[in-house]
Amino acid sequence: MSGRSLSLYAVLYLTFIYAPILLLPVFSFNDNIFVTFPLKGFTTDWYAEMVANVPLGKALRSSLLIVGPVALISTGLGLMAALALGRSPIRFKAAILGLLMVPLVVPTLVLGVSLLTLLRGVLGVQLSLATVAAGHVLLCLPYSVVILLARLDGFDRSLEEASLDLGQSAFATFRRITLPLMMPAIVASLLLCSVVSFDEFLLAFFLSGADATLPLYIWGSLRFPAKLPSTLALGTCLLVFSICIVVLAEWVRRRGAPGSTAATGL
Amino acid sequence: MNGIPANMIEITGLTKAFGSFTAIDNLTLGIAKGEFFALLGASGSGKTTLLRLLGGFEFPNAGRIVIDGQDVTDQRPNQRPTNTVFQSYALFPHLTLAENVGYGLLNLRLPKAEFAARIEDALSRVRLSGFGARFPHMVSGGQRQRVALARALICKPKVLLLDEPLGALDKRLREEMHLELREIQRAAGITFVLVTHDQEEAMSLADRIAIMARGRLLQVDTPRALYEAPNSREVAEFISNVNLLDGTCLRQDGPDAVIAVNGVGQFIACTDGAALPEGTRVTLAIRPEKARFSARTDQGANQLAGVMRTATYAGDRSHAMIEVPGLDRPFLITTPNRDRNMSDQDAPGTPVTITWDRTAAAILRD
Amino acid sequence: MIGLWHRSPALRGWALIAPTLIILMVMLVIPLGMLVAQSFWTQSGLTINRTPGLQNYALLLAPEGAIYRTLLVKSLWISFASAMVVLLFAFPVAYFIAFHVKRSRLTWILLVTVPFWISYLLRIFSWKIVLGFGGALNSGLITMSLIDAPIEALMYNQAAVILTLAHSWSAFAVLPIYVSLQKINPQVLEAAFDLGDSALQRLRRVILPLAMPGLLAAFLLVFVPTMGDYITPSLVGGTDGVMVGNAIATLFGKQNDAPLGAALAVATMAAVAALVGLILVAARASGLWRSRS
Repeated sequence: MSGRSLSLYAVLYLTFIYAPILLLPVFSFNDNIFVTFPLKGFTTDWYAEMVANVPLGKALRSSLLIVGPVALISTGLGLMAALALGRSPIRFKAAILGLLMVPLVVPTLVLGVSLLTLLRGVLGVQLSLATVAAGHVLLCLPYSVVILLARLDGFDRSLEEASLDLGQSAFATFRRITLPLMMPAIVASLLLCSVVSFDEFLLAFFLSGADATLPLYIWGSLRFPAKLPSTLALGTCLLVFSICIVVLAEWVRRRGAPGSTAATGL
Repeated sequence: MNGIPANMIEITGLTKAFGSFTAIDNLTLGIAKGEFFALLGASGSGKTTLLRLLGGFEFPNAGRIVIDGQDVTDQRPNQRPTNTVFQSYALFPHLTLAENVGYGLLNLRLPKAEFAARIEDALSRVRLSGFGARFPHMVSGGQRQRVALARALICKPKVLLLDEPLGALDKRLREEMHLELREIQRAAGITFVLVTHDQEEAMSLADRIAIMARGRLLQVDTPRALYEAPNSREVAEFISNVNLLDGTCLRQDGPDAVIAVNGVGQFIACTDGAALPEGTRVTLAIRPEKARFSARTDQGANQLAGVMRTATYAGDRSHAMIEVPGLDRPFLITTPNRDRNMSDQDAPGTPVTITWDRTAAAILRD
Repeated sequence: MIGLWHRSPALRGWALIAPTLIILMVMLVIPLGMLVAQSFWTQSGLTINRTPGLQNYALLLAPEGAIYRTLLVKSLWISFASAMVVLLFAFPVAYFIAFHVKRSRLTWILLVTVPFWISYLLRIFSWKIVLGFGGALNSGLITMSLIDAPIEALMYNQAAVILTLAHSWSAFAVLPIYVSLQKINPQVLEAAFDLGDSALQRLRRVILPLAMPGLLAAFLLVFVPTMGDYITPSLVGGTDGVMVGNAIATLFGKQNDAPLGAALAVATMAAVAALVGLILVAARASGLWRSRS
């Protein structure tokens, strides 16, 4: 395999990955209610329609309402778990890490129905945005732990020992050494958990009550061809939002780890 | 009080196990005030664990550690009068060199000017004035090493612990740092405990060396004593090369003992004033530079006939490996190259005679 | 007490991880355990009979359960095919980034991973736009006069599901393969050349075995979660591309037979586990995957 044909392939691969997604913004500005070529003309009507859409605004508010708590709780728990797994001599570390990764492997659908059975069938909990948020924390934990643990493994443990040795207490050491060194990963985890929660559909599908989140709204509007163009506009906004956040998260994470080339966060 | 200076560090019955592995096994050791002490051993011998126990990074399963009269066994690193120079230096990457050096002063809440002055003083002591604003990744390995040293010394610890501090430096820089370390230690009058696997480093730096293996101390002595009068085969072999001849004491002959080595011959060796009972099983340890060889048959007591196997030229000296009938390993001899011409006796296959003086061989009784 | 706290880092560790463990217990272990328990119950109408029994599993094995069995086998096939397609697509890219990209590696990795973080729903939705009857591909081809009438066969079939799944999950696969390739010492590759390997032999005898942990990880990361996918078959699958996840959702929802749905979910996960085990055993037996510790 020569370098040239490989790089040609890599470009084709990126085209395959990005082309379908990039059709969303293309058609969201197309002056045609049908999603077909040839493009008819430029319009921002669909965006105006999107902004004027009341249920959409409500769904956006619902999504934004849970994103913050989900990101904070997942990252907080993830940080504690990473410290325990990376810095303390507890047993069964491999088993715990394995259990943490289970939400990534078990089909979300199965997680959704079993959580639904527990919450509604057994505990009699009223479904609401809070139950959606709880489900999202479960989904975000693996990402948070992986990102934070990678960073914790990335710096020498003797840095913390040196701080203790130089007279700082365990808490002061955490504040002065561990936390600043972890900060890029913490920010990355916060951002990525936000994206996961903001985009998640299937758990929300099972666990939401009366209030729909944004992906649920999109799902609902897919059935109505008349709503398609404004859904495209909404999709475009989400796309731009997600890409910005992810690139920002990567930038923060890498800036904090000079010289590290391996991408450990997914 | 009664004229005997108290030890700075007093370790008694110290034991540390990791699961089923005993890293430190019932170890007792005293280190004097102002002493430069080295812990020497192969990896896995327990030397680093002992240092970490002294620093408070590990806690023992049994035994006590007393530093300067105070029991510190249960104290954490930030409570102990010790500071550590870590193997990786462990400089905080997010802090400047000055902030690194000043880290140990943070709790003293010094006035700003004094804080800065003490940092500048510490930096100049390790010849790094003007480097304070740089970050660790911007300076060389040797400079990082000196920052780590300055950082550990700024708190004026009673004991400085050094964990293979020169391991990452190249040979020349290491030798420079040897001199510098000794200087600093003398000037500060602090007790240094150095962990190393490099015996040359231990010998040139330390007042006393402890040889460690399997979590125990094999011998604690001055560098000279360890080299010239090892107390066991293991120590003799650990410190540099040595020729070992197993034998039995036939009789005491004045200051010397006559030792019979099975199938090889009889040799006399000075017993250093000790009396060696007849029939004692002993090992003669002869360092390679303390024996000679020549193509002629020599006069004298300690003689061995052999055949030259290989001779290696190493600049200032040459190493010879000589096959001796009856010995399972070739006899090693190191000769200084006093003459610029190679001698013809170095050719493989040449029959040679090995000789050594009665004070050249050490008698090991294990 | 405080002394114990300071002297026992393990205790501190357990305290730190306890909240996470509690959450995993309450939200993962117990629900999944209950799902298994539920699969042994029966339901008719609104009454649930909680006497444990194997009726649901018997139904899945009986002639009446044929449609679920067909669905399960079809889903295994679709997921397997998607995972293989992903490996095929992703390996050359990972190889390219690991061995041919020198300066801009981070950019490439970012380019490849970013789509993963874009809403799954949107990614699949975008394929609906591409493949639809009046969609971008058909209308584009008509515009370019390459075809006269829209091709119906583009969407609502297994191939569409496989293509869409492969697209959605390939970002997930490039990274583990890249990581295992990146660990290979370039001198090992030079040694293979030096010892007479051709480029192809080197790929087969040196690179693939060394990349096998990454390839296996990538395969599992795609195969396992796609087995339970619901969105893709719903949006682009049609009747031909329907998967077992749709049946589970229907059983829990419209059909109101949660116990049978639970049994089907358990059977699905068991089938996945069995197939994964089989693949690991086969990989080990073939000598392609050796533990190098």
